[in-house]
Amino acid sequence: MIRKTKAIFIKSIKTGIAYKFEFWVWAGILSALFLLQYFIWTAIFTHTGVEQIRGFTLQQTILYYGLAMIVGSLTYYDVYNFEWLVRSGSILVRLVKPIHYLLRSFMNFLGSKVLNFTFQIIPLSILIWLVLKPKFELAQLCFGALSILLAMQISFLFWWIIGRSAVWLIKSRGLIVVIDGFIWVASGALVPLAFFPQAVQKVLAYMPFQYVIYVPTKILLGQITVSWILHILFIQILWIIILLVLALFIWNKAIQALEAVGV
Amino acid sequence: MKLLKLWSRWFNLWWQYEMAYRLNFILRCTGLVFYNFIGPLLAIVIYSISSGFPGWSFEQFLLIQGIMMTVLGIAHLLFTNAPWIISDLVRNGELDNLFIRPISPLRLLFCWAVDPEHIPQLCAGALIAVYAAIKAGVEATGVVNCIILILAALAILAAFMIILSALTIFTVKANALIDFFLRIIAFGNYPLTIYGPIGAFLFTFILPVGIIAYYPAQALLGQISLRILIELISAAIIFFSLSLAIWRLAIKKYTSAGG
Repeated sequence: MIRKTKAIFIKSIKTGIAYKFEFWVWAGILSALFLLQYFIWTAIFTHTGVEQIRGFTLQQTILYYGLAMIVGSLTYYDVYNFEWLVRSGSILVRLVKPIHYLLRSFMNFLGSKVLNFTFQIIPLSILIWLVLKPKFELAQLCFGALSILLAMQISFLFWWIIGRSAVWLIKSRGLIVVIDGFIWVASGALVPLAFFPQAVQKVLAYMPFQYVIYVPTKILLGQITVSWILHILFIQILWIIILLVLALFIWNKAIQALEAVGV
Repeated sequence: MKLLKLWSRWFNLWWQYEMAYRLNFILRCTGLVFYNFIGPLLAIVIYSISSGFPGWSFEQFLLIQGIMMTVLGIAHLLFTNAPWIISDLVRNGELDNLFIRPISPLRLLFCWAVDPEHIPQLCAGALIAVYAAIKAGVEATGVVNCIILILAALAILAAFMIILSALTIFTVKANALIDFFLRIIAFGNYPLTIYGPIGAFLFTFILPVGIIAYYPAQALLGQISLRILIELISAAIIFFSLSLAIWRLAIKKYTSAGG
């Protein structure tokens, strides 16, 4: 089993390397968007004339966006392609492979993240360091990295489940676009969730999305105490278990419903 | 007239195709409107926790967001699909299809690029822009100047799509560059003054994303001089002419892979 998963992981990296120009361009896009946040929040803080907004200083706000972009890049999982596999019938070829489709998808996801890290995260991290010169404690980085690893699994499982809707909908792009827009707001990618009214924050706390970007980013920022971090990691693991059970259940139903006759 | 007839025939085909998957169509339209409400939502959040951007009240900033939604809605409806279509045609070896029809390839490309799922986004943007304009207070001459600048913005966006389409013919894969341009448009969502004089120049004349919403909003508020208006219109004409020259060069250099 280890040999098979390793082979898929390596194949995913090799496939991704063929598109390294795209990765570089995305590194440029992320860097530009980080600088955009720098300009926006510098103007807002200067004009408002305050030291802090909802517990965030200017430096922390800009750093939040930089780190959220890193976490977002590592947790993003593109499931648009599954719709085509169902419509064209080519999903059948993948189903006869001697490895569970969920595990195969996860190894592909991990492989693509190695490239994300190499071509996007490293250049963006250098830019963040040059602009803000942030200081991190070792515990912050270790807990942050652990939380990101769990966040990657939450994001992967959630999107994997949503992607399977193509079995019933045939064209699932619409559903993905709607959910993606909502998650953009609910995960803390748009603004730190602390900027929303209390009532909105309370509702979002019951969803898994803040554990994908907002919470890991806050841990990296050093805004969460160690005892609370352990509590958060426990909730993240709980979400992984819930989503894993749901993913396996949905997959069993999807296999029964799959027609995949091709177009 | 011929173009309009072709456009309506293409629209009918597109509609029949989309109606085969109605739920997906409705969800996609909803999702696109929701995505575009992120700008106004951000405006609400920013102005509820701070004083916002210097020199711009909440309604004035909302006006920029509304105009951005409207202009991008029109652009997506009419032509932003063009480089993606060229990309697919080139990769599948089907680009010749574009040249063997009894119509100019560029006109045909712009017919194929029509994407009516952005109509709800366009309507929502227009509603926000009108609401914000009424609240912010507009000048009568500003409306005319704003419409002229929106047309100039559409010409510039069309020019970029033509250049990206031409680059796709040259390089086969320019998807990343198309992505890059579409993302950089985000810089036009904010007052150009926050980028400093160099940034303002960059986003006015080099990567003119400021003309999409910032300058039309300024025109509507009566804050734009005749000199800048003329400069922006000239920039749009130069950009569009340049894009046509690059497109012609791409077609001239194109070699079919067919035997």
